[in-house]
Amino acid sequence: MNDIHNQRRSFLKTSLGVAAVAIAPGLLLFDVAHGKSEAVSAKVRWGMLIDTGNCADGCNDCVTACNKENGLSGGLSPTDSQWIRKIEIKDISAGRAVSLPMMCQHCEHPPCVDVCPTGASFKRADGIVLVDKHLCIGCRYCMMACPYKARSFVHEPLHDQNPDVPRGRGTVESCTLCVHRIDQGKQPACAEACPNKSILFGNLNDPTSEIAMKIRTVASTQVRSDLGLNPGIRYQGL
Amino acid sequence: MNLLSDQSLRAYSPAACLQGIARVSLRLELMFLVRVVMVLVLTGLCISASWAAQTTPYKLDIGRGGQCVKDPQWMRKNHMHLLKHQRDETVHKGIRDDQISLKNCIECHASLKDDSVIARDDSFCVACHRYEAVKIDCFECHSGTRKSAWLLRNAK
Ligand code: SF4
Ligand code: SF4
Repeated sequence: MNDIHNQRRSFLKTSLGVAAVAIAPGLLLFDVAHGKSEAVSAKVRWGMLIDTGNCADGCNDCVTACNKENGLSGGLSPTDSQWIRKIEIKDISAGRAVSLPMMCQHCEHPPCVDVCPTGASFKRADGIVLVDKHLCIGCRYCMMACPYKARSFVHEPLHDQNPDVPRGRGTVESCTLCVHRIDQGKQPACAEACPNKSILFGNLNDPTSEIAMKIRTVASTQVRSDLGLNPGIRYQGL
Repeated sequence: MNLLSDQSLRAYSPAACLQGIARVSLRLELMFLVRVVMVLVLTGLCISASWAAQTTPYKLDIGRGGQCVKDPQWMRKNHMHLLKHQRDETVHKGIRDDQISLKNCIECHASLKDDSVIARDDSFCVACHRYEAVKIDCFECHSGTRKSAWLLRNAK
């Protein structure tokens, strides 16, 4: 199967080369700066470390950046999509409150994938949990299964989506870790937008990455670690 | 006997036989003519069909156009297989730099007037699919707008 794919790929590339020669210089009709041609691999595991100590109470910049990047309305009604939300948690006996962003935790053993009847929910080799909307039938089992309430269902027809972020009615969606940006070598929009640099994004599998080194040295927790899902998102100062 | 005067018996007389042969050969000649005419008509149809294959029988805005994957006739027949193959590669494996991505198709084929492959009756995707009566739902989720134009429009 893969062999056939590869053959077809190289064949297409050859014909592309011919086309590129045939067309006048300066008139190359396609844009090649889209990303890698290799498949993502399990050598990488994308994750985040969120420093709740730095995350300012009342700041909503990560949410706004996510909404803009992914074309979400930003509405808060039960039928509006929310990929990331700011939440406040308070230790009632001690009185200590922290503010933190909450989104899909990109579980290593995602219950949303376990329950999906169509194979639409899946985990990419590099640990990003996604919905293949070509396959999703909108049954919303995954929304029920997710312990973090991370997923939303699109109720209304949408128009003028970001060409990089296809979204549409009748399918379930959640934080994609800005997979379209990651594949271009960029950071997720929320991590880039945080004015306090509270969201550290990186490769958990690379021992020399900033995030891996920090996780080795400071105390961090996974939310509901008792469930054994091994989320890729970790929180510091919870 | 009245049997001798029966019409059906006349064919058995030698004169009638000769007459019959003449009639048969006339019929053969007519059939030959009909065949020649049919062949001519069919050839004409084929030629006009191949002309039609080069243009389109409906109005079509191909945008910037050009050919970067395969020739137009091949693409008309097979573009859906390429797109479907590429969609799985991209969604599941993160392979994104191929020219057979929907975004790259749109980049060249969106109209130069409105930067879209779906906005009007003669837009690149609409015109053909309407003519062929094939309903697609790609653009319920995917943007039909040229990405460079979308980015310009949505720049801060
Ligand atoms: S947080 Fe929820 S949606 Fe995200 S991977 Fe885990 S179970 Fe799935
Ligand atoms: S809503 Fe879609 S992704 Fe979720 S379980 Fe059903 S088919 Fe799978």
